[in-house]
Amino acid sequence: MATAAASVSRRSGSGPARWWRALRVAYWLGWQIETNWTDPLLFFIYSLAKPLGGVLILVFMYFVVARGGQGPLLGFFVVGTALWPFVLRGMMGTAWGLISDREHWRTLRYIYSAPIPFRAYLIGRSLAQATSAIAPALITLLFGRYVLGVPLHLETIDGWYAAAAMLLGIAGIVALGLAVVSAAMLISGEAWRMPEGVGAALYLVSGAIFPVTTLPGWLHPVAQVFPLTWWLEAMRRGLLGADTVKSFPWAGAGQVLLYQVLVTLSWIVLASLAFGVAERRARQLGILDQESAY
Amino acid sequence: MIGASAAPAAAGARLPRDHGLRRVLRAAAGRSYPRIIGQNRERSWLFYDTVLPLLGTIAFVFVYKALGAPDRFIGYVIMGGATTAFWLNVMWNMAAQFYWDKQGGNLELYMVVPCGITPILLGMSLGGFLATLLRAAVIVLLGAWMFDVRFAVSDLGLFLLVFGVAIVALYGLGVTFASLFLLWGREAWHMAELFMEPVFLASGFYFPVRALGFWAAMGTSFIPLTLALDALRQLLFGAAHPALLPVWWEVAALGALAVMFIILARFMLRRMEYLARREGRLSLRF
Amino acid sequence: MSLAPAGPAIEVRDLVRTYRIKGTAQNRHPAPVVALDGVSLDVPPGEFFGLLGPNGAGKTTLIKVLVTLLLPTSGSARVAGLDVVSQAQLVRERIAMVSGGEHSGYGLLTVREQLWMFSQFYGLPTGPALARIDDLLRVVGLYDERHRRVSALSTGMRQKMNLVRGLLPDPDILFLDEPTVGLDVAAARDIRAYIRDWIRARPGRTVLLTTHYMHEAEELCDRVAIIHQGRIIASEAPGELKRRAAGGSYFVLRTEAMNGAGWLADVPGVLRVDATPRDSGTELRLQLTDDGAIAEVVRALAGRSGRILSMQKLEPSLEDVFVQLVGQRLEEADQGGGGS
Repeated sequence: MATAAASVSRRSGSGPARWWRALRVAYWLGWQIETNWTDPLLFFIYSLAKPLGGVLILVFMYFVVARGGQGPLLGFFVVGTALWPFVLRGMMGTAWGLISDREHWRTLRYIYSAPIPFRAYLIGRSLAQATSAIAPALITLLFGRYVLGVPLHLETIDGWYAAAAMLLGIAGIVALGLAVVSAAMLISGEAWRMPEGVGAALYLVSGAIFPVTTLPGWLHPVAQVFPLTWWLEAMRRGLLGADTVKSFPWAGAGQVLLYQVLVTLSWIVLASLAFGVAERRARQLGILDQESAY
Repeated sequence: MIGASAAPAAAGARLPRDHGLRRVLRAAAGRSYPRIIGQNRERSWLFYDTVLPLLGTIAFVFVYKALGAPDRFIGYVIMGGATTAFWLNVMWNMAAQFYWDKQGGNLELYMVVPCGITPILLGMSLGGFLATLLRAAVIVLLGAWMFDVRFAVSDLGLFLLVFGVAIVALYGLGVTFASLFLLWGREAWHMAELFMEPVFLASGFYFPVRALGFWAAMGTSFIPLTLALDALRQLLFGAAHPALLPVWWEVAALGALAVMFIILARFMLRRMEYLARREGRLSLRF
Repeated sequence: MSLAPAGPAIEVRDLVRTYRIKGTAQNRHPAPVVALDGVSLDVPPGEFFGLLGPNGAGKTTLIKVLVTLLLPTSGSARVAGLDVVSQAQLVRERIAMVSGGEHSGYGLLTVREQLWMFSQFYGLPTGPALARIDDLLRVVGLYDERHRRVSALSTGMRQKMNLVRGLLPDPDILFLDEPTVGLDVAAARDIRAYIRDWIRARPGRTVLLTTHYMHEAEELCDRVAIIHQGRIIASEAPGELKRRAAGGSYFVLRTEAMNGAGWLADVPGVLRVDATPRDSGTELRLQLTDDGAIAEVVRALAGRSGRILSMQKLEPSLEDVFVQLVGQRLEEADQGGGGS
């Protein structure tokens, strides 16, 4: 026994190395959980049916009113619906990951007490969830392009702009996910419904399926506070070009990207602070790994 | 320490038991109890089950506003939002409930009690319906108030008949799904998720189902909500609503669906219980 | 509800239960897992019958067949004279089941409400059912918690509540699947005491208990069957089993620390020796052919090394029976087994 123990040494490593390792392993774990529940075919169908169902609801709503033809709003719907799974999975999925670790798998206490940066673990899980949204996003965009005739052309897509917006968007989603996790750490019982509530509220105010200009005036500043709003706006500008329906007609493409950077950075700082406070509070109250037994 | 001398007295005399229909009713009442009192015990349920569908409803209202749609479309969306509450209840609290019960260890106990599983499902349906009715009413009232929509029912008796028959058919479908989810293990959660947006689309939650095309809409009419929504909208919006079928035809079809799903549910339940006992998957986590 | 049947309360003949398992990339067509491999047993009415074995032996699988949760692959089983496959619904009228390590129950209901709900599944009128619930809660010491939510109960309290749930319909046959697992000493003792009193309170009540705690089986059971790898390898009263194992005498010796004790097996009269380091010494557990062989052991120890610090003769336990029949201790069999 003693001999066997002596031959195994821990890989401690520096801070960044430890962060990277925790993130990498958490990503792997999140991917395993996300994809192991069925065979690949059914997983693919699941990736198709939900986003396409969502976009087709909007398409039929559009056709019922517009009685056929394409308009710029179709493109608006398609891009918003294509990108929303990133929010569902990346943001809400992070919170659900914590809740399921706590309530279902009951591994949270062991993960938390391991010598890993807990934030790195959560971010890794979040990124795995967000990765699973890539397939539905691409399928929805392709459907929009080739079936609905939405003007998504490689020639007109501003690739660098869209890529920058996408990376910032993922960062914003992860930040929001951490903020929601902070709340979830302090709630038991119905915590698993809370991410859904946050997601529904953001769906309403972030210009996911209709321009922010449609909202009552007093909600416009609320919409601008969230990184998702700027992300969606920037992605539409990058993918659909200047003719797209705009949530912020007064802002140029550069301004939109700038606002996205500023709001995202603010949320990264805010979420990090909130997470630290919530984590300390949860430890004080002893509820970090408390199961709701509902 | 156990009061050992009290034990024989406590457990001595045999209590009389009801059988047959009386026991079915008792078991159904017993199982509906947690559903009904849950609303008072866990107030957050009322919030989530009302606010979430309402938020989704409001989002679709703004879509129609962005499209410049006539006001009656907002009425469509509010009805769709109320219908969402019922569909969520059927999928999450009926179809997937056995999955949660299997996880929690309650399902094993249900399979061993002498009343059988059917009264337990009946109780779940009843408790779920009562809770959801309240939520749907709140969504309609709040939505109508927020967006200044007036609903005028042309025939209240027929409206209630359509609603009643549709509910029976819907919960029959829910019981059928409960049997299927019994065996799908962890996939049950994902399957319930899968039946969200596609059903909202196929049943015309947020637009007249006739927009899908007559035959496509007829194809999706096996989902009770398709015909129910269409019939109710005809009674609310009259000729302005592009109807799929005349109202009485839809009532008859819903009645047939109700009978079919009840029979199917009973058959599926027995079949699935047998398969679950054969495969040994009643008490496996996943 | 009828009186206890004239025949056996539980009758099992050549019961086999196998599970198919999914193939993997490494093994595409794995052999099915045999959980029960031709089990046969009879339990007469009024008996407290124990099923003892390590994890993965098949105890829980057998109980699940008997309570109609699981179909056998082949063979037959009857409970209260009724076939568990074709007359499952009738079987359920006469039985109740309590499992250990349960987290079942709706957290937002109170103890009383939870139990009332289950009483309704048995068709018990509300008034008498609540009175019975209160009585049983008093007996198990949970009466003061009757209005507490299930989610707020400790593990021991929850298990007591589950026991009350099992006793509430006053079954003819009570199935207990490791009912004290995970409980502290006091709670486990309470549960055992109440079960023992319950079966004595009315003739004809039968209990089938599965456990991997030897002392529990010895304390409670009229008869014990030892199950290992899906087969019953012995089935007798605990005293008879121990007498069977007493093909020899059992001694425990405490000595100064020894570096290996395997050589003791070569001493004449020694059938088996188990050496365990204990408190900077060694504890030797010996099975000998007869009492006289201990003298040889003492002589051999004196000639080799350390002092004998203490010596005690033991009555054989069910653990010893298990070792003799299976060839390894229960903990070792646990480590080699899978889930039951």
